[in-house]
Amino acid sequence: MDKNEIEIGVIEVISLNSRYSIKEIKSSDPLDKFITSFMADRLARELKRKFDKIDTSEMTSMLYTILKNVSDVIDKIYSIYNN
Amino acid sequence: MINKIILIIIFVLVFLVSGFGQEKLFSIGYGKTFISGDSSTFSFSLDLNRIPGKSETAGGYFINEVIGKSQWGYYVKPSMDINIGSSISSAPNNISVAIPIGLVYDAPKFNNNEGILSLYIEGAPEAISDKSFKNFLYYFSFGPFIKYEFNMSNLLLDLQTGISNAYGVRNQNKIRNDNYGRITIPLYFKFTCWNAKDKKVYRRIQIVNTLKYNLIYSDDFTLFNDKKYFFNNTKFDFYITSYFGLNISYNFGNEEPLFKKNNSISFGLTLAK
Repeated sequence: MDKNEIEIGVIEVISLNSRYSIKEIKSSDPLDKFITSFMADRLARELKRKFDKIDTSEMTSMLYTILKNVSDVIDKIYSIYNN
Repeated sequence: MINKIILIIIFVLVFLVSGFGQEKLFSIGYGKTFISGDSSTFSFSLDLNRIPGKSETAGGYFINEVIGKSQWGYYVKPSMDINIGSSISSAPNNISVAIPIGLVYDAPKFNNNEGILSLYIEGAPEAISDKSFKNFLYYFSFGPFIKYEFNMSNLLLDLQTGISNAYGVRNQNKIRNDNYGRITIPLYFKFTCWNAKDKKVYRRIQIVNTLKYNLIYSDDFTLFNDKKYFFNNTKFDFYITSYFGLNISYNFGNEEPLFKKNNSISFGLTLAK
C-alpha cells in the first residue's frame, strides 16, 4: 500500500466520522480540527476497519498524544504497512 | 487491615493504568458550602475515564478492538474517580475504581450535518469507598448507554445517557454487610469550544454537567432512609494552555457511598495533558 492510498483512506475515514468533506480535510491540519480527542476510541476503530494491520488499542493511545496531525496518522500507518 | 492494604494497592494500580492517555488529570479547589456548619473548604478531584454511573470513552484502554469488519467493537478500560473535600458537604467524598468491559456499536453517519452516535453495552466490577476507607460498596454494574457527539470547527457538543443496574454489597467497617442494589440514570452534557492547537495561543472553554439519578432498591435502610437520590455536578473550565486551566465547580445532591447532602461551590485549578 503506497502513501497516496493511505492518505486517501485516512482522509476518507476522518470525513466519514466528522462534518467535513474529503476536500476540506488537509493532511497538514491537526486531528482535533475534525474529530475531538474525546472520540479517539471510535476513530481508532474506524481506522482499523479501513487498515486491518493496525493494532487498535495501540492506535487509541497514540491518537492526539503522539499522532496530533492527520499527516502523523498517515505516516504511522505507512510505517506499519511498509516495515 | 490486610484487606484495606490490598484495596489501597488496587486503587493505586488502577490509578497508574487509567492515567495513561487521559485528557484531564486532576483539579484542586478552594470553596464554600451552603449548608450551615461548614464554611471555607478545600476540594480535590481526579477523573480518569469516568463520569458517575458511566465510564467515559476516550483514552486509557487496555483493549479497544473491532469485531471483524463490522460496526461493532469491544473494549476493556480501567477507570478511577476521586472526589474529596475537607468537609462532609463540600464534595461527594468518595474514591471509586472500576474495570468496565463493553461492546460498542459505531452507528454510521447519514449525512454531514449530523453528529456521531455510538451505543455502548457495558458491565463493570466496581468498588467505591468513602475517604476514610471505612465504608465500601462493591458491586457489578451493567447497562446500555448512548453517546452523541456534534463537532463543528472548534466547537463540540457531547451528550451521553443510559441506564445501569448495580448489585453487590455494602461493607461498613466493623459493623455488618448488607446487600446493595441500585438503578442509575446518568445524563452527561459537555460543551467545549477552543482554538486549534496549531495556533500559538491556545484557549479552551468547557462546561460539563453531570446529573445522576439513583434509585436504591436494596441497602441497609436503617441507616439510609431514602431510596431516591439526585446528584448534580456543574463544572466550568477555562484553559489558559492545553495543560492548565481555571475552574469553577458546583455540587448539589447526594452521592455514593454515604449519600451525605452536598451543596457547595469551589474555585480551583485544573491540570490536564
